[in-house]
Amino acid sequence: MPILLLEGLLLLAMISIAIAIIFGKNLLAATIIYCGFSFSAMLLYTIVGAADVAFTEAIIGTISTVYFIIAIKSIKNRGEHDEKK
Amino acid sequence: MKKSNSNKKLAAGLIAIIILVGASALKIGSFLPVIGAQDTPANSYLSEYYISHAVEDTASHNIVTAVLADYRGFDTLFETCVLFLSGITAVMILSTKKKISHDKTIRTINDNSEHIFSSNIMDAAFRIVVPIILIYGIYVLIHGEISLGGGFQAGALLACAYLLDRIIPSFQMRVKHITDEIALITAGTGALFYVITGILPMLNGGNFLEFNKLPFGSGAGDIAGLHSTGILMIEIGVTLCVMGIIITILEVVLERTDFDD
Amino acid sequence: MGIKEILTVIFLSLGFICFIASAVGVFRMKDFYCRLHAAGVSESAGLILCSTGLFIYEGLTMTGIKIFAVFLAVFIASPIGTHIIAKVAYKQSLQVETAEEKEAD
Repeated sequence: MPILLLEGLLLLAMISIAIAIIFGKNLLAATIIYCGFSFSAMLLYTIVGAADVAFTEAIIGTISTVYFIIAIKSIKNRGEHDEKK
Repeated sequence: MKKSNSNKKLAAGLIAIIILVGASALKIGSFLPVIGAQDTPANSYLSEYYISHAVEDTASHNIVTAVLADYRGFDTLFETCVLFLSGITAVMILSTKKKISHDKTIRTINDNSEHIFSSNIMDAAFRIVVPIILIYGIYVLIHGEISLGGGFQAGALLACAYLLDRIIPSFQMRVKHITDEIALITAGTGALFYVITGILPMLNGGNFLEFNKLPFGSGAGDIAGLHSTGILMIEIGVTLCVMGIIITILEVVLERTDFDD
Repeated sequence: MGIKEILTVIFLSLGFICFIASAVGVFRMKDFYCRLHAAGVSESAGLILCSTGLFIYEGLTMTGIKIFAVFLAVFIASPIGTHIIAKVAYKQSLQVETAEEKEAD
């Protein structure tokens, strides 16, 4: 089935961002990259034609990223191992 | 020894419950139709009816809002209830920790403080940005029937303005500090407003959430005015609920933790 | 090809050059503050050029005024973000790396 070039590029970007989140070593950096994932999902919704969903995704993406960062910051021993290697 | 034995029994029991619930869900789910099949109601005649009759039935130009708030208003009621439930769960899980009383003077910064975010530029910048976000949130709520928007987006925008003001401290308190109890009460009030909007047509001789028989409306009682009033009241209820939930989850976490940096 | 289209193409291509330069700069700089400065180029200079190009093409219709409003909103709000990042990094004592010139011989 025909897939447009722009949608294909965006889907490729989403896959690579997801792999980067899973295999990242620093937990705080993975949270920031999750914001990029939400942004590319919003672009995909806009291209397909669902404008309401894209608007909602943009707002909820920023709020949920802030929540994740607050939750990660409130753990005392985060166990960041990459400084000891 | 005793503790590890009871822990193992607890773990085994939990795994059994999970396997049981998962297997029954798979069995029940096999009765649902396949996604994308041609003979489901959603693909054969229902979508055509919604798209072609939405503007004249509900008098709103945004088909998404018309389907969400008028044709399927009952589903939106339970979505709002699920949101409210998530807020209650967050409060319930974190209620065993004690509240840490942050010093009040941290919020209002004196002239020679060493807080990270204190500066004149930030203060002036946020005085411009925060009222614009609040006005835009109310605009999105009221124009939900004509352009993009609706209840969920407006509630999230209003909560976003409060979030901005809470995390970045300023030279004086601009927004009143909302505790988590008040935010939860606001969320409940929103859901209650939604249900009252549903019960009002029943007093006038109609069904639950039937907008043709609302007792009051705008525009001398014609169909378009009644539907518009009904959709507006539903969206106000959803906005209050969403705003209350987002502020509740934020305050519940921020008041009980002590950040080390 | 009237004068309006030529002006639009010129402004838009200048804006795209700004965006590409900012993206390359974020990847290739070694210091944190240099990277932050490169990222700030795209949100102020690139935005002005692209918005001017689109505004010339649309003229003074409703769409043109909406483009101007979007430009105003992003132009006010995004240097605030850059300022916050730089200020927090400075307060957390992130040092500026200076080049070691004495060992180059």
